[in-house]
Amino acid sequence: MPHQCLHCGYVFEDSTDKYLRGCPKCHGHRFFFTKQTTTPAAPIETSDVSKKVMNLIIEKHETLKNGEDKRVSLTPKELRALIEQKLEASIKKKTMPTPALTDEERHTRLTQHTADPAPHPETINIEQSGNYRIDLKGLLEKEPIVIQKDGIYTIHLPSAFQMLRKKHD
Amino acid sequence: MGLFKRVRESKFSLMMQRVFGKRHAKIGIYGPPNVGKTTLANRILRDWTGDIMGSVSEIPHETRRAKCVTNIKINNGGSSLNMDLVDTPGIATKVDYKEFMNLYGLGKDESRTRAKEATEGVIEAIKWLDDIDGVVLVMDATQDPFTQVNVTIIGNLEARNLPVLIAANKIDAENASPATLKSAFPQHPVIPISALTGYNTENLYSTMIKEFSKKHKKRGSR
Repeated sequence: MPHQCLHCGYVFEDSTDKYLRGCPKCHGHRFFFTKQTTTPAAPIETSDVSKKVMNLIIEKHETLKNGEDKRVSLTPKELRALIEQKLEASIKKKTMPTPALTDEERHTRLTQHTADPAPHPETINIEQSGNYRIDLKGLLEKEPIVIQKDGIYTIHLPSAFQMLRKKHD
Repeated sequence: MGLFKRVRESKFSLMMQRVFGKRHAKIGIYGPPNVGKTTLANRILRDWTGDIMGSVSEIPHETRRAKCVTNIKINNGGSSLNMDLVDTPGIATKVDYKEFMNLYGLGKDESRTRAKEATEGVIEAIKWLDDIDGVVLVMDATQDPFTQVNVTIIGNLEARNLPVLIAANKIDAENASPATLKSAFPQHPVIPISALTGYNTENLYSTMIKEFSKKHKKRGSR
């Protein structure tokens, strides 16, 4: 695998030790192994986080864009505050409340799911191997676990006795 | 065992907690699959114990066994809550192995096993409800809240008289709409959060302390 300069993207061919003397182009001393070399124009793709941080710095220091300043100093605290500010703004923007539902709409939509299901004895229906239909309401109301597969019903006895005990109480 | 530890775990300690209104509550994290239950459990544990609950995945039904972590103390400055946290498997009405194969590229055998374990997980999650003192019901704020799972769970929790707090998760997503969730279930506190980024979790903790510190008389589901 070739070595590539981390800074300028200069590529050393296989099995070379020339990089030990530094990059001939930019005199950099940091290299990485790579299967696929990147183009010299875009040596390394900066990560998404780095891009965001760079954008934040540029936003804060407008003069950087104009090329007037070349250095910028930021404390970790400032950087954290900037990121948090950006994050809060984006979340607030995304969570603008949508029109709330009226009581009538809410009631109609709730009743769609509260109607009693057809009276099947099974709480778990195995339609085929790996495909299960679960009677959630029955299980939540502590009905016994009855498994149906190919017309054969298997009853989980402890849950059946538990239901009987509850009824006696 | 040290004297301090013995006093802390003794009946005397429980009595003092009762006198001063402090409770030790078992809180269950419930909800449909893939809404971020384990991500939230991990967030809570990371914030208060530095631990994690379990692995998360974009494939539904990653958590197929309930997990419980005991003695977590959360506080919001003035008041606190001691709790055991139970992360439960996702509750669904249908589990189809083909979904894992077609949408997530799992193998046939793996998908079938996952579907079977997920179904067992639903039963296990429901069984845990008998031991639970309060529920954090996690819902996906990007999805329609009027689903059979959400409506059935809420109805049953209300019948059991269990305190419910709805965590409207994933509000960092583009199409999140916590307002719809709030208007769908106005009878319960709805806290918009992002379990992934930790956004608004302080508010969630405060509401948990407020809601789960109260004493509720539990009822059976019928």
